[in-house]
Amino acid sequence: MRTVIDAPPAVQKRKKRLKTDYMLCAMLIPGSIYLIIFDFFPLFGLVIGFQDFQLAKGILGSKWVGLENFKYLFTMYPNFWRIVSNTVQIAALKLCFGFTAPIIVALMLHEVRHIRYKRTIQTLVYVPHFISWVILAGILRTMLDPSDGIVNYILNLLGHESVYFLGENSTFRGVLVVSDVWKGFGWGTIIYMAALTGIDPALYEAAIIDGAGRFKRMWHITLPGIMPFIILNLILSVPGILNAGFDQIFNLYNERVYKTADVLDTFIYRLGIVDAQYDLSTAIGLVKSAISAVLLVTSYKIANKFYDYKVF
Amino acid sequence: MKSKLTKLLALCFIASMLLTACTGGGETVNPSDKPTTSPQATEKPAETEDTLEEIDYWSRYDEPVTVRFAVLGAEDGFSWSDNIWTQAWKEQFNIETEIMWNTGTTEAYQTKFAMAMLTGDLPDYMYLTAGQFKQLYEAGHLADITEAYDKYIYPHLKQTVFEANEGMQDIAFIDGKRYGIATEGINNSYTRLIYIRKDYMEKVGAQVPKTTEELIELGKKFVDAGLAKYALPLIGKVTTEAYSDIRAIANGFGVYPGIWVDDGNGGMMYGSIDPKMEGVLNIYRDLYKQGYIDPTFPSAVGDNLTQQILNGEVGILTGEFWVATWPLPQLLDEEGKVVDWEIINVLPSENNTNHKYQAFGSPADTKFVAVRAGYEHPDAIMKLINHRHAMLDDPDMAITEFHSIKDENGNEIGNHMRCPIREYFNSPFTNQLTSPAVTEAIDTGNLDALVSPHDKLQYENVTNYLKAVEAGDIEGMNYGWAVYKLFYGEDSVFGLFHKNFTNNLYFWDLRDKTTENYERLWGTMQQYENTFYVNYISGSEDTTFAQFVQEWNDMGGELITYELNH
Repeated sequence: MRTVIDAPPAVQKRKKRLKTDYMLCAMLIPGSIYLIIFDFFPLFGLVIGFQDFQLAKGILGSKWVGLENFKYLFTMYPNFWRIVSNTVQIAALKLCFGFTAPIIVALMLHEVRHIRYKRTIQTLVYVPHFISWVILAGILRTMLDPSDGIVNYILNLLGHESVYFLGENSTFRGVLVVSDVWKGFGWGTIIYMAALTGIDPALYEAAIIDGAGRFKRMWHITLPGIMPFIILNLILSVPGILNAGFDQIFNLYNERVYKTADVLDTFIYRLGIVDAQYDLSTAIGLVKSAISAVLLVTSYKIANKFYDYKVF
Repeated sequence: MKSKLTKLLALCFIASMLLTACTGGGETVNPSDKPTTSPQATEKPAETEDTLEEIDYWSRYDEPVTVRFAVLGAEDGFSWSDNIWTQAWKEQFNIETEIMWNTGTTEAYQTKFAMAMLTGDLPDYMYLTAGQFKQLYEAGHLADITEAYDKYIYPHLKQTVFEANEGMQDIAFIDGKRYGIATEGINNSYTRLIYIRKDYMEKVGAQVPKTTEELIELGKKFVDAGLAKYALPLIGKVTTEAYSDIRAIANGFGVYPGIWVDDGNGGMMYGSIDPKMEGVLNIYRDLYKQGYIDPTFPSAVGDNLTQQILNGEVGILTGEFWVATWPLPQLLDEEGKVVDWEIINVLPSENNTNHKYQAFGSPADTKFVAVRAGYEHPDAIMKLINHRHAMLDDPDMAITEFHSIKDENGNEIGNHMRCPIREYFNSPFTNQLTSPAVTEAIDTGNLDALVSPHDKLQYENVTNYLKAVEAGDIEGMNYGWAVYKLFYGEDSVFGLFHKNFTNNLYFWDLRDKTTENYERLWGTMQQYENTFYVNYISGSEDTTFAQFVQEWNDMGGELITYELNH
């Protein structure tokens, strides 16, 4: 007896969708090409991390040294672990303040009734986002200069001694975090404000009838309303915990604060770009990517489990 | 940005001063080897073929030949591919110039060149460090230029420059074949000098100090008297900053950071980890604590120091010779005259009985001119090198326009800096030979003392200065001050260098080779060294000097020291 074997229903369905959505599929092509050329193809270059890489000999001609580069970094290079710890600490501090600040500001602005006032504030806090770190760093360095900066001028007027903010290990991280939050919170605020407009006003009305005060409304309606965005933001931030902000630190730091401010990216820059040690810098880059990948998966799982958040 | 450019220009100006034929000194000269070209032949190059039949050096190609360059330097109001040099090359040799790329900074150049090495898309003419030379040779990217060199480099250049230093060219040979032309090795021109403002010395009633200790005291005095802001100048790169670093003071105490010195057991050790270095760092540390050193020095760059100098906040400088050409002449007093500085050798400390000056570079740091493997016309590149040397340094052939011309405002335009071949094929001792020649010519009136084009040029500059002094022409005085300070008299900068050199007072780098680990790790280790020094001086790190030495050894220092000693 012969049976006709049809394709399983799922495949049929997929085929049908391919037919109807071919335009959408075609639109995926340029993006995929981009990914393949710029994200997948370069993965090949990670091999450098395991080589005694010589420029002129190239990837194919250089000597394979196995884990030597990693060994050098982990065991021989002084302060490598300090750099790792700096990275995590700075990124964690920034995440801590930089993540909560926009939520708080957005919630506060949400309560403001005066539309023009609200818009003005919204725009003003958003402006620093558009200034690049190169410029901002120049401004900061001038403002914080120990001999003729305005901040120290004010401190002096108040009878306080000048502080070399960018040169003291005790103050440098503070400057990093404050300036980073100041630059970034406007952008985050806008995103949360957009999310806030999506909350059904009927909920508020119902809550008011039920006698909920401002705080209760915020706690029970506003916050749960934007929770998916908060979670999304958090998920997107956690894997970046090893990105402590190259642009910012690079433009502000100096050798005197390496102790507290030297992070993986600035180290990679000095090793790879300044010193052309592509093998060592690739090795660190690889370690960094591996850790980020683990963090990404973990944070996604957590979000998935506790908040039922799904991307895939 | 602007002042960075000025600095670059200043450096180029200095480079121009370094050029010359080295026929003045005697040791490296063989006057009979001058080419048999008539002066007229070089002035109208295109017409010279017939008269020069027997020599091939200046002949023209029938078909145009293209040479590709990668150039370090921005095109600031001129073109690398179309200027007096490239036009002359086209006319004389039928050689066309193609600029593959050019960059504004050394860092960008090195990055781009690294990429070129990686992709193999190399220029035809290359100027390489010893490490790059080795890597490119091993990868088969360098052309064998044995024949091209022997046949096409003309005798004057060959014998007075390239083969003048015995053994210098040997390192360009691999298995009996020549793969490059060694151009730059050890050099005493970068020795540190001490600059002291004369008017400040008068104001505090001080004499020129005799020891390093006195110098430091003088620096403090300037600050205490409210004249200078800081006692000693210091910026971020504390041991490698040519503008002003700690080497001048270290050398006074018999410490030579950055070079390899005798370890006392017949071997060599790295000068920066010399136990005596701790004492030098402690001096700076104390000065820093007392507020005598710029608190922002770790992040300070050359521009900051320049600003301090021009604000009159600096009384003492400890840099290389070019500081005299820039920025010092830009600092004017109330009458508009250049502020005068006392320029002296590094001073010994009170207990230093064997005082010597630090020379720079080692034979292992030699630079190479090389040709890309597979390039069809290595001979064309040899001809361009001949031309570059002849137009600037050959006493019989040099043409002033190739060095510089004056624009309508009387400002000098350095044509020598606009050549796609940026290297100067002359002796590193050029300036030191010019100084005694110029001094003799002025003092005795014997113009025969002037041999090279450079001698004549500087003689003219110094006499113009002296005339301006006599006539009270302030502009002329300001213009000539630097040249006067550099070249005239036994105690001029190059007079001092010449004297030190003849009296054998230099401390030379002992490192004579490079190793794989050296090439691989040295840059990282140097960065680390600087970080430690900065943090030690500013007291922001608790690492002791002994701990630093241990760390330095662990990160590869021990290994490299062993390799270099065996």
